[in-house]
Amino acid sequence: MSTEKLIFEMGAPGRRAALLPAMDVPTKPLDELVPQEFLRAEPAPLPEVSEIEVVRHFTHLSQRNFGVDSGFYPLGSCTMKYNPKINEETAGMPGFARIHPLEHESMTQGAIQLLYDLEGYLAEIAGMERVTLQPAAGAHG
Amino acid sequence: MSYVPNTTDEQQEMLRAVGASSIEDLLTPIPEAVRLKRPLNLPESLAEPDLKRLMLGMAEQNADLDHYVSFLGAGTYDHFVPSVVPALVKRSEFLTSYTPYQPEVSQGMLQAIYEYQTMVCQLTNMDVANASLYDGSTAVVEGALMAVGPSGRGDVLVSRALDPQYRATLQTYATARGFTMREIGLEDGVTSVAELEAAMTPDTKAVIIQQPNFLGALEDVRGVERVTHAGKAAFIVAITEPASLGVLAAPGDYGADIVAAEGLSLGNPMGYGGPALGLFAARKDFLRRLPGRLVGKTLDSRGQEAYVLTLQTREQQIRRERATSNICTNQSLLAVAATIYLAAMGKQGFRELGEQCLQRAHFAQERICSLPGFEPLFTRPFFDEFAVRCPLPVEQLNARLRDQGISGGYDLSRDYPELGNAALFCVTETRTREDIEALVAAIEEVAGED
Amino acid sequence: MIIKAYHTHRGEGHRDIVLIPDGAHGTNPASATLADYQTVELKSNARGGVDVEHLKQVLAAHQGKIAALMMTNPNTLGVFDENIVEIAKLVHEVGGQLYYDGANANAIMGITRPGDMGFDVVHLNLHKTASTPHGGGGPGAGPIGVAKHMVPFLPGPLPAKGRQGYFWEDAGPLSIGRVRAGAGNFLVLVRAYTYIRSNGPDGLRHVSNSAVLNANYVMRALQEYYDLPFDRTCMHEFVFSANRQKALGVRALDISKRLLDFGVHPPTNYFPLIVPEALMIEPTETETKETLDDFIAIMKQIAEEAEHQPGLLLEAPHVTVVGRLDEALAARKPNLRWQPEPEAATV
Repeated sequence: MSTEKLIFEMGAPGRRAALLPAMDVPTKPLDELVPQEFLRAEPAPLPEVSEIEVVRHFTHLSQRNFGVDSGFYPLGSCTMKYNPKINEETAGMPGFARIHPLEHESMTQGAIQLLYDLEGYLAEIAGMERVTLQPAAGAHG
Repeated sequence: MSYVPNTTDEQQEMLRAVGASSIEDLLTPIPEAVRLKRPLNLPESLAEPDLKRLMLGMAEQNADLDHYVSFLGAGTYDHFVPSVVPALVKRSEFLTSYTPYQPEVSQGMLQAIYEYQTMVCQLTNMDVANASLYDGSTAVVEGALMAVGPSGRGDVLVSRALDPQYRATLQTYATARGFTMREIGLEDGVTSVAELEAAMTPDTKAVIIQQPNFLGALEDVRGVERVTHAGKAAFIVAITEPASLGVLAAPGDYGADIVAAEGLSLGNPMGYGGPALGLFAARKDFLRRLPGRLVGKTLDSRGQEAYVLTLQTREQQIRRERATSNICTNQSLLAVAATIYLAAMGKQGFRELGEQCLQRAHFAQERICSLPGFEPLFTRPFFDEFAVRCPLPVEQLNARLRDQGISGGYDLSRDYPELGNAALFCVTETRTREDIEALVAAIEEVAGED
Repeated sequence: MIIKAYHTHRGEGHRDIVLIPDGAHGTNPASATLADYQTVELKSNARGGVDVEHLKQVLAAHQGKIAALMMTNPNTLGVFDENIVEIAKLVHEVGGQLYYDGANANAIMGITRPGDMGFDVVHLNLHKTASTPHGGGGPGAGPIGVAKHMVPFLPGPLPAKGRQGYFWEDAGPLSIGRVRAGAGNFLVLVRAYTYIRSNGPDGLRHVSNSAVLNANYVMRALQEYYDLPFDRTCMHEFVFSANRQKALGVRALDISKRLLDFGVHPPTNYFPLIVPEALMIEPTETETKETLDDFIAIMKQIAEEAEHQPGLLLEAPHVTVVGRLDEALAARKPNLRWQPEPEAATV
């Protein structure tokens, strides 16, 4: 338990953990579609591991980590409060998780409504006129 | 539901322990003048079943990719995510941890990020990568800031085929920070090397292009590299479609100094564009100037190999006024998802991913451009996105496609009016032959009515 | 950047000074630098708030140059600055703006609002207040709220509601432009929305009340054992100093490392800079009384250990998967990626 190998030190040539969809369109040699000079000579040397190895490795890594769900986390200025599980469930709903940012407004009414309402809630909580939800974190003010 | 576990009785007991008779006693430092003397004007609380129903109702008003066939890319790409990725990344020890300031209890996250940094280097063929940034657009900004240096002044040349949102973001920072940003025009859908050469000045600190570019075309990266380095500027390559690295030459192969990429599609939910994942890699000369966080390998007091945050030139505790970046949060969780995704895809799978996108997109392009009035806008090679000249306004076409449950190509006239009626179609491994045929049939029907 | 656009629009682009209290978060100066501002530090008074007399001097010394004062309230010491109304008045009188940075509203929801205190721009940290997971340091979301006179400068686009339904409204001509691609960290915002709807107005008020109570409960129970530089009612967090333990050869960091042996994540140590050997503690409202009592007992035990068995602390942690790390080695010989043998070497 005192160390966990790196994923690169696991596996064997030819092992894999994911298959691509069956190829159902006619194909051509790659260099007929894109000139050789644009193509990669060697595939990126990513790991060659099976699904069980991926699962065990990242499960072991998670066991070497501490979160709010593990125990008390009184880290000042970071507000490590409990994160309700329903938040994860709603954020995972396909109608939120699987929508494209450039999708037409008429096809994302629920998303824009959510943002519109949230802006109002946050403006009320902060006592502000309007709120932009765009910034990621840190200070754009 | 406020998730406060203590009961009123328990809170009374706690109040007694601190010598207060009510919560109000603890709030006395807040002057009356600034008190809110009414309840917040928000909807009343909801129990979980009601809340779930409400949220599902809103979610169902959106066209999600499980129910609609989409050919939209333009910076955000739909790729299949193997089930192991969400299953593992949602483990709460990852999900509910904070920045690994206490490495003894954060080895899991730190090692995963070290693996992530390695994989970013493997994909891009660069020497070093950081632990991630907010998104591709802010990664480009950080790249420009790094190239411009602490003075914050200088000239940055940007291809007109860099994602328009990225250009806008960069412009915002350029204005605030005081460097100039000039746009280099296009020729046959790619950055004009001649125009770039003419625009270079001794003050030019960086040249930024995107590969494949926003219009889907493959840039003459070697030509741009030659001119950029001849002018002693940093060559920054932006990538919005990382799947392209499965088959296309890596930036490190053609002399990039800095790579700034969007990694959202590497195992993370599209989520209306965010949170996203900024990949950032550079040549080793930049090692001590990299923005954001870095994880390094070291030894612990027991002589074991272990991982720790290192070289934190931008952190809170150091050189407050000298920091050039305010980035101190990163996207660790998304980076972990990307790591699991790339491990699951693996060397072979990731290459096949690139091949499938490329093959399917070329098949679709041939089929669409066989329709009367539709033709390729450029002659340049492409990866999984291509621009098509259309015989009718793209929005008019797309409105009709939407009625059939299809999201058509991105309407380029919004950002590139000079291109006329042009649509940018994206076809990844998630679009089947059936999807493509349905699109072609629908376009044919709409165009035929005109 | 919004503030800069505001001043520039009013023909006052020469205002280039941002005031920052000495206890502020370290990223504030970086944010100011990013917007090409100079920063001037404000001293704290004996109660942990802004020293109003010093503020007056600074305002007088930089007449016509003040762009903004960046602060939070409650501040990083966990105390509420009672002089906020006067501070806001002083800054506004000289044409400056009040910017509430990196705000955590966890102590004040439904009690007071930054807008009512006189702030013109507010940066809210949703991953703190609205219980969205921190995910190892990301992703967060940091919406920015503005008072009426700042609205035209907001980055766009903004969500809007019309007769045909909801739509994206492009930013106006005065907007600072785009600050990132896309519509923000949408899935983080979905979580925040879920949280607010779950709580409702009464729930949010209860959250803040309970966060304040939990913090005061722990602070009062432990103040005999650790120095409390600002002995007054705290809001959602408070700062101890391990000065007393330092005299015994034990640093705040050693106390933190020892906490790991008890399965507790340590408090913040590196910050705020104005408190030496800081132990910044924020219990939050979601902890039970038993958890707080356990923590209090552990902290008392550690204070005892510091006196009688300091070695236990200096060598801590003992039970974690790795011991203390050699951070100097990591910085001296950076190894930031794996490389296949035999070329394995430092990059």
